[in-house]
Amino acid sequence: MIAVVKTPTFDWEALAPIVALGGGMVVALVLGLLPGRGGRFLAVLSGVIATGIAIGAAVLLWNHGVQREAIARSVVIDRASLAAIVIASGSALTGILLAARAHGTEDAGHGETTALILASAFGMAILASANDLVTIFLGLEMLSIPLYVLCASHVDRTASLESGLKYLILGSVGSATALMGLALLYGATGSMYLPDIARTAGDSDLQGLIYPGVALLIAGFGFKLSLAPLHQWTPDVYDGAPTAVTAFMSVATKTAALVVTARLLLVGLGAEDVRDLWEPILLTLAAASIIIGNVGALGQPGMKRLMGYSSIAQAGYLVAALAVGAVGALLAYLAAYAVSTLTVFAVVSARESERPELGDDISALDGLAKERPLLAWLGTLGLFGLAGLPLTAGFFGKVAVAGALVNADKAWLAVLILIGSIISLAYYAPPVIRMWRTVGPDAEEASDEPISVTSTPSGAPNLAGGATGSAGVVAPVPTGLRWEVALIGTVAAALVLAGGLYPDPLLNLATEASAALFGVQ
Amino acid sequence: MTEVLFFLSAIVAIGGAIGVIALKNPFNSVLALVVHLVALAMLFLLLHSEFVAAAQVVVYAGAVMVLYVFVAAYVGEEGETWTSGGRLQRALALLLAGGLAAELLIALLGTGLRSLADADDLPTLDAGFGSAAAIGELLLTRYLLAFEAASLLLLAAAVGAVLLARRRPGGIPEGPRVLSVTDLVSTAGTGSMTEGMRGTLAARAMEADRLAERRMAEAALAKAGKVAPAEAEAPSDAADAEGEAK
Repeated sequence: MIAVVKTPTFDWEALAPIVALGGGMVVALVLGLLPGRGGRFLAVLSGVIATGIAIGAAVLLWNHGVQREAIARSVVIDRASLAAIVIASGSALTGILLAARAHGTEDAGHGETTALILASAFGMAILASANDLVTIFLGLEMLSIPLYVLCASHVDRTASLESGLKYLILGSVGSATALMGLALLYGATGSMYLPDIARTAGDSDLQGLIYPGVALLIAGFGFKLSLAPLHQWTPDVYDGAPTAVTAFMSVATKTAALVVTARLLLVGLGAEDVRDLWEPILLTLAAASIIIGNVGALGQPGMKRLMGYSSIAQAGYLVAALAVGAVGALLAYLAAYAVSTLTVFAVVSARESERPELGDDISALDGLAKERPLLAWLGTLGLFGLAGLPLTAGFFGKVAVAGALVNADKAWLAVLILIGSIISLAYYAPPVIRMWRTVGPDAEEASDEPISVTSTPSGAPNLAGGATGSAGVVAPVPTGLRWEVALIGTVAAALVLAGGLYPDPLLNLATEASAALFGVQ
Repeated sequence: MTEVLFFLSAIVAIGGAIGVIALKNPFNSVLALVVHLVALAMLFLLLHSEFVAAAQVVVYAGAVMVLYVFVAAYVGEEGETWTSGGRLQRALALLLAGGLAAELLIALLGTGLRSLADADDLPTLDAGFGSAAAIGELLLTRYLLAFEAASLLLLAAAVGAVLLARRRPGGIPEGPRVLSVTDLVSTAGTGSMTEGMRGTLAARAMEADRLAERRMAEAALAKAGKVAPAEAEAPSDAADAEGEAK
């Protein structure tokens, strides 16, 4: 007996960005198997092309104003999901380029590294455009599992293994929590589709199931967003993971998780009495993250650890915008955060290969302006963008978020953001000062923590207490400035500056995306 | 009859789940998990999901559990002591877990069971509900994207496992590492009977001891001038084994 099954039409046009990322993963994996430099080059090249196609297709779809559900309503392609796809693909591109000639990538394999970054970006694209609960969970796992591996991919460094193991265990707890929440939500509303849930969530006779479901969902996604008090893994994981991976995950994971949370809460669970439940939770988490992130970042010796704490604070700002339903402000600030963070990580990565004995330690930035003026400018722009100083995109992003909070009668949180930003100058400024001050004979004495360089038996200099832990590993040989790192850093920094000098396009695009999120239903 | 079966398997499932976390020996925990999973399969059967129940038994109670038993046998006998946090942290954890349990119980007992009691408005099931054919059709229509994404997810997971576990040309350098993923998946001589019986680490330590003894004996003999240390392979073997045993 042959059953007649009508398969759903595969909407190639709308799904082009997602397909490009998934296909690129397979291609990079296969090409990476070729021996020698050729395989390495082709794997990285296919990663660059795949992310390029994804960004290009997303921009085209955006210009056509595409807004429709695809593949049996599993995903919805609208400007909100396209914005997330562009940011996620852009950071995947950055991650691939930063990893291309970094120490340790050779050992992990270029094909594998590129393929896993693309796999994670594929998961993010699915997550950001998910329209039903099953797709949300699969996107979440597709995003997370490659990242667990990528964090641990420098198997000869203890810190990297620790980072991967910590992220795996805590991330799995987060995923399980979110899954429980999704199950309760399905139990309460009897539907997998977000638009159907939106219709029934308000007056379901199983209201009692919705409350714990929403709480568990927020806890699960709070793990991924590293919101306090679910943030404990962040500094360790960011610190131990390879720098390229840290750059990728700090931006892209937040983007996808924020967009899906916005879709889930504002579209699926936007009904008045459900909203009364999650709004105070989100506001509390945002306030806690702003305080804990900004205070924790003070006095961190390593740049990656510093960025880990800083990203907790930034997640607080972003979720504050989400809590009051200001998706436009959320996306505008998200874009600013993305380009600023990628700029900073490009500088950190470039310094890491030039001064491998210092790794990501903040002292590696000493005298950068004299050695590499370009990198010093990039680092300054990136850090000022994160601090939200004027002339950077971060400034207008922060103004948009604060404005939305004041409009929603939550001025206390706007004040908290202001205080947090002032505190943040205390840790964003020292790296900048280190870059620009002239290194004289007295510079060593002036530095806060004296650096003791000891010699391991193998003869390699090893920094006591430095981030590049394990004794006995032969320190990698310093290499010159990698042009692709400088290039991607320059592009990101140019965007930071462009958003700061002429913010209207950024704010308009964010408003359009926000309208699309609420529009299709 | 259905009620009796439901409560029977539900109680067994909860008992198994408590056993997983309460039992001290990891091996017993794994067995308790098997009990739990089989009870869950019975619950699936009561929900007319024959295929899911069968998959549950075959995949989880079968394949996955075998893996767990292996892991428990390999690394579980080190006499690991759990270092729990401070008193405040423990109290806080109990408080929060209790709060969550109370919330979920109220939610489920208050609403979930009530709707089960109204047997009249239970939805009618389509013919073939829960069968392999119906699930296959759903995977190719309604959940096509999820199906495809899951297959790519498996590919990514396989690539990741190989990336972490494959042998490096230079070996993994010694360092102050506590526990790495590679300890679980890639070991020299994996699968030998000694290893299976005694656990990897014990077997390696034994091997190293044995080689060291042999080398000492040889050295003593060489000193006595009776036998020259002719074996070329023995020293390198011993060095390897010692290096790994650390």
